[in-house]
Amino acid sequence: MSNENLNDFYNQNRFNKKLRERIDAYEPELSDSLWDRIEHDLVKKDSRSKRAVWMVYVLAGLLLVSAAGIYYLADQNQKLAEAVKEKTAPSESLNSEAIPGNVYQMPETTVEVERNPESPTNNEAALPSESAIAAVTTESAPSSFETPEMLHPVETENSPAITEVTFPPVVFEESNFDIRADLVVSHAEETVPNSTSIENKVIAPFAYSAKTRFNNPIQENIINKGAIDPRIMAYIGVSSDLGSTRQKVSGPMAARFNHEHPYVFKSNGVELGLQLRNGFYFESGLRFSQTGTNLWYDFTPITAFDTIPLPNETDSLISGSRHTVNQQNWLEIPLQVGYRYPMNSHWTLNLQTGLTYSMINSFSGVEPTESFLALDKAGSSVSQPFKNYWSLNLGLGLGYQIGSHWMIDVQGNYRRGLTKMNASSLPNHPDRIAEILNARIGLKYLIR
Amino acid sequence: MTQISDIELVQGCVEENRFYQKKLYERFARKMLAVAFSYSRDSYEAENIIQESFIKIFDHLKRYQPTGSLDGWVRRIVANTAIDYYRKKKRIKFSEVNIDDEAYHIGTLDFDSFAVKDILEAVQELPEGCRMVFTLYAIEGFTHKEIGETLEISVGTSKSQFSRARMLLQEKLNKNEQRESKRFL
Repeated sequence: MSNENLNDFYNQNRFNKKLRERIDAYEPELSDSLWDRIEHDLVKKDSRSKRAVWMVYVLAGLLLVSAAGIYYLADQNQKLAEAVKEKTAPSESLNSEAIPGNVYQMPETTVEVERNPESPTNNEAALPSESAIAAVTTESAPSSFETPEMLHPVETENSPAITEVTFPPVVFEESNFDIRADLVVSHAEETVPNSTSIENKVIAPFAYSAKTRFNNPIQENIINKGAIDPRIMAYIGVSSDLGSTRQKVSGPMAARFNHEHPYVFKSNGVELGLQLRNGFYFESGLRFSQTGTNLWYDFTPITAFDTIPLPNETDSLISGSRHTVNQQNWLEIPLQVGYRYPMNSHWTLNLQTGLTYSMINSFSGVEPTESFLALDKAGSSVSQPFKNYWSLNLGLGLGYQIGSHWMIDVQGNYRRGLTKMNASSLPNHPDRIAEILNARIGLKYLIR
Repeated sequence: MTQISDIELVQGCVEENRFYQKKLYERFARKMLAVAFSYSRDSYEAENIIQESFIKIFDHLKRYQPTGSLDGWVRRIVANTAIDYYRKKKRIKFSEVNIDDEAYHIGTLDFDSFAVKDILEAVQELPEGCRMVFTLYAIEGFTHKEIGETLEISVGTSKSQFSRARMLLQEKLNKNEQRESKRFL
C-alpha cells in the first residue's frame, strides 16, 4: 500500500469513526403515531397466534370426534357381527361334517313323512314335501336333492298316511351356497326377500333405513353378505367453491358509499362429517377463500346527504365510481347440519344449513379514509377495514353415491352475515354485511 | 426514577409485557431512527423501517445473548431490516461507475462544519446503491468485502459506489452550504 493510500485509509477511518459517533449521538424526533403503529402490529400478531392456537384446538376436537365416531362405528359393527353370528350359529353345525375343501356330504337319512292324502300312489309321492325338506335341514343343509331311490310306505293303524323316506347321501359343492343361505334364513324363521333381487346392488347406507326396507338390520346384513351398515358413519371430504360476494351497507352512514358491486371469489376446503343412517348429517371443516382483485366502489356525492361531519365546508367527498385493486383472503370454519333425501339407490337431494365463522386474515387494497376525502392503502393511514364475522347459510344440492364409499355433492349456497364485517375502528364508515352466493362441488369418502 | 437494566428489559419483552416493550422502544427508537434515516429516502420510509425492526426485535429477543451489547444487537437488526426493506422492493440499483483512482483518493471529507441532520438529509438524497454502500461502509463499519456479500455485488462495485457517494455528498453539502450562506447575506 502506497503512502498516499495509507494516508487515505487512515483519513477515511478517522472520518468514518467521527461520523459514526456523531450519528450515534443524534436522536431525531419521533412521530407520535410510531409506537401506536408498532403496538397495533403486536396486537395483530398476538391475535393471529391466538387464532392459530384456537384453530389447532378446533382441528384437534374435530379429529377427536371423528376418532370417537370411527371407534363407535367399529364397535357397533363388531356387535352386529356377533349378533349375526349368534343368529346363524346352527348353520355352523353344517360345516362340522363337511368334507375338507368346499365339498359337503349329507349322510343317508331316513325320516318319516306324513304322506299327502291326495297322493294316490307311492310313485306320486316320490318327491318329499317342503316340510320334509325343512325337517331335514334342521340337521343338515344340502344344496340340492336328487330323487330318493326308495320310498317305503309305513302302514300303521293310527297313521296310515305315514311314509318312510330314505335319502341317499347327497354331495354338494359351495357353488350351491345361495340355496344354503336361504335355508339358514329359513331356519332362523325369518321372512327374507329374494336375495338375488338385490344382490350386487349397492345400497346407499343413508338412503335406506333398514327398518323400512327390511325386517331388521341383521337380515339386511345377511343379504349384503355381512356388510353391516352402522347407524353413524364418519366421512372426510374435499370441496371447491366458485361464487360471488358483496357487502351490503347499512346504518346511518350507508349513504356514503354503495359497496354492493359483487366480486368473484374462489374457495377450497376440507370437511369432516358424521352421516346418520336416517339421512341427517353434521359437518365441519376448514376452508380458505380468496377474492379476485378487481373491485368497483360507488361513492355517493356530498349533495346526497348532510349528516357527515366534514373538516371543512369547502372539502368535498370522493364521489362517483372508482376502480381499485383489492384482494381479500379469509379462512372459514363451517358448522353445518344437513339432510339427504333418497331419490333412488344412488341419488339424494341434499338440504343443508348452518353457521360459518369467517376469519379475515388479510386485505390488500384501498379504502376511503375516515373523513371520506380520499382513498388510501388499508393498513397504512387507513386501518384494516374488516374483522371476523358469523354468517348463516342455506344450501340445496344433489348427491351421487359411487360404490359404497364415495359420494359426489353438487350444491348451491346462499349465505348472509349475522354480524357485521367492518372493523369498529372506522367510525364514519357504514356497517357492512357479507352476502355470498356460490356453487360447490365436493367429494366425500365414507368410512364404513 | 431508577433505570431499568438491559436484562430486566429483555426479560420483560420476552414475556411480552407491553410496559417493557414500550420502555425498550423509548430507549432505542430515536437512536435507531437516526440509523434508519441513513438507509432511507425520507422520514416516512425510515419510520417504516423502525416499525418493522421493532416487531422483529420483540419477536427475536428470546434469542438475544447478553454477551454482546443490547444496543449493538438492536442496531444490527435495524440495519438488516433496512437492507431487506429495499431488497424486497427490488429497488437497489447500482449504476455502473468506473473506478477513477483520482476520484477515489479525494482525501478526507470534512463534515465537522455540518450538522448531523444536514449530513443525513444529504445522504438520503444519494442514489439508492450509493446510499446503501456509504451507510454500510462509513456508518456501520462494514468492509467492502462484507458489503459485497451483503448486497451481492463485487468488491469493485462497492468501492466505486462508495467513491461516488463521497463525491456526491461533498457536492450536495457544499451546495446546501452556499444556499444557506446566500440566505443570510
